[in-house]
Amino acid sequence: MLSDAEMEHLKMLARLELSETETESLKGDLNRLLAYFDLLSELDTDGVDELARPVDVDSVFRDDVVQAGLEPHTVQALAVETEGGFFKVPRTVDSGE
Amino acid sequence: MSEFEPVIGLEVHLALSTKSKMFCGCPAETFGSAPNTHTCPVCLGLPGSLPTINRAAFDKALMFALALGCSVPERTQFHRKNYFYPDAPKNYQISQYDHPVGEHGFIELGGRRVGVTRCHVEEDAGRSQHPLYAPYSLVDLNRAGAPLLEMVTEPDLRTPEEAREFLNKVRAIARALGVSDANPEEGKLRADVNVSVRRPGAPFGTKVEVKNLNSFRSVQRALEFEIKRQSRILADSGSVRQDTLGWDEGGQKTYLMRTKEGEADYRYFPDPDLPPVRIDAAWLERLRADTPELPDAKEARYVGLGVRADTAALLAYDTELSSFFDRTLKTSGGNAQAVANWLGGDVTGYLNANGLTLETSKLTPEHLARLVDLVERGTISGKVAKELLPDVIGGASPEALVRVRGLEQVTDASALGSVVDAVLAENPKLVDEAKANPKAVNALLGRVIKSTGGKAKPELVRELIVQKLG
Repeated sequence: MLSDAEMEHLKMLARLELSETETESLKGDLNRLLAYFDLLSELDTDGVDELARPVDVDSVFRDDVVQAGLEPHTVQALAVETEGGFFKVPRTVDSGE
Repeated sequence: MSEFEPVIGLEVHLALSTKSKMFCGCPAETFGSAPNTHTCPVCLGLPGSLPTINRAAFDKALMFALALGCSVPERTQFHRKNYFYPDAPKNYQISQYDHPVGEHGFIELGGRRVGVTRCHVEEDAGRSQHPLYAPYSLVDLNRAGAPLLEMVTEPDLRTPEEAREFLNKVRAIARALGVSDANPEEGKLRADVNVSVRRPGAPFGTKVEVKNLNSFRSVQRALEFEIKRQSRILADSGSVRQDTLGWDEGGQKTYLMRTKEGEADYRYFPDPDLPPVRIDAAWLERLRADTPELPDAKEARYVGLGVRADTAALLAYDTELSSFFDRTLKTSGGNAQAVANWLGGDVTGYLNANGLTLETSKLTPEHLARLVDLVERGTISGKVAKELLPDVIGGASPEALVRVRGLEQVTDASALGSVVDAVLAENPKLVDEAKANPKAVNALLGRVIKSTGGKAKPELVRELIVQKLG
């Protein structure tokens, strides 16, 4: 079961601002997810290798060749807001520097 | 403050010098480009896009790891390092975690080994700007996805000067291998430092990390500042907090960036979009065969050729100088020290004073070799050679210059004899002084050489003067 402190830590990592009601509701959902993992943990997986990727291939490379990317105007159109070609985002540093 | 000993470790990021980015075909070199003009669905992290590994970037990272004596695993893989920041468009960085390309290497510094904990491949983040007094930040994702090699050292460094020397060495190795330009001014080599202080022999103290160090000088200054700050705290029986600090170049002081996150907060997990990489013996053999000579080996070879130790080091640690030196030696009469003196001294001095480099100037190894040979054979004096140097650096052939300007050294004793006679006759006072004191011969010698326009061979002139003074 998630503690209140763990919930606050998760909210910080996910950069989420939630009301008390929303937090409680999400905590309930997450605890149900964790309970499902508890159920999966009942399976005996001794001697079964970890499966990080579903397809068994390795060492797939591309050659070091420059290819055309997206046109700058296409990229600009994807952004919520731009300024002089930059993507404009909420300020990420505190100081006025 | 001297009762405390600093303990320093470095994290060095090298921009790998490939044509395209780590996981997509956008150009890797975007320095100076307009913002957001070199991006694609992969490096923008658009839904449905898939990364593919740049073979050249992987080769370069492996070659670097091998050159540092790292052990390389048979199987390596990429992980996702999760964090939210606008310069990381996917909300994770593709990096390596449990099986990096290299572990447990070292770099020799001042006769001892500085441990290299690990080398791993990862992608770079974009760049942010924070306009003055504006409530927003600006993001450019041109650099996002560019290939990086991160090298982490053991806490084996003990002084700020040593940290700076270490970085010089890393840069020399990276440039010699051709894996990175390693130029801090263009952000191709970025270092974060970890520093703590302790009483000698005591366990390690609490360390802080200092980021945003964009020159070797900043690294040294930031370390000096932190060592003083931490020593003062400990001397007052206080305790150092484990923080991430930034370096304020203008104020020459560190400032608090954030309280350090724990590693668990990054929630590393294997990237399911990227298959693991198997590294077999044949691949490593090929890389070893392709590995050029490293600076330490070059230095030893130059010393073996008779070059003085300090000159040998100067040349060996500069890729352009050493490559030019080697090419000059191939075509010269063979006095390595003479070539080294010219290259490390007058040539470098002239280039620096005129804002040139070996690459941008028209100096060729053949012309430098001819110039040195002309002096060595006694055809021209060292003084004349120095006067010719600007033209030779400008692309002129030294032999042609000597022919056209009639600069061959006068080595004919009878021709010189009359010049010596004339100078002696014009300077009776100097003659008396020279008779009394052998050192005063130099004044007469200078006058003779001057009146031949610098073309007289000094040794011969001296001989003649001494002879005529009886």
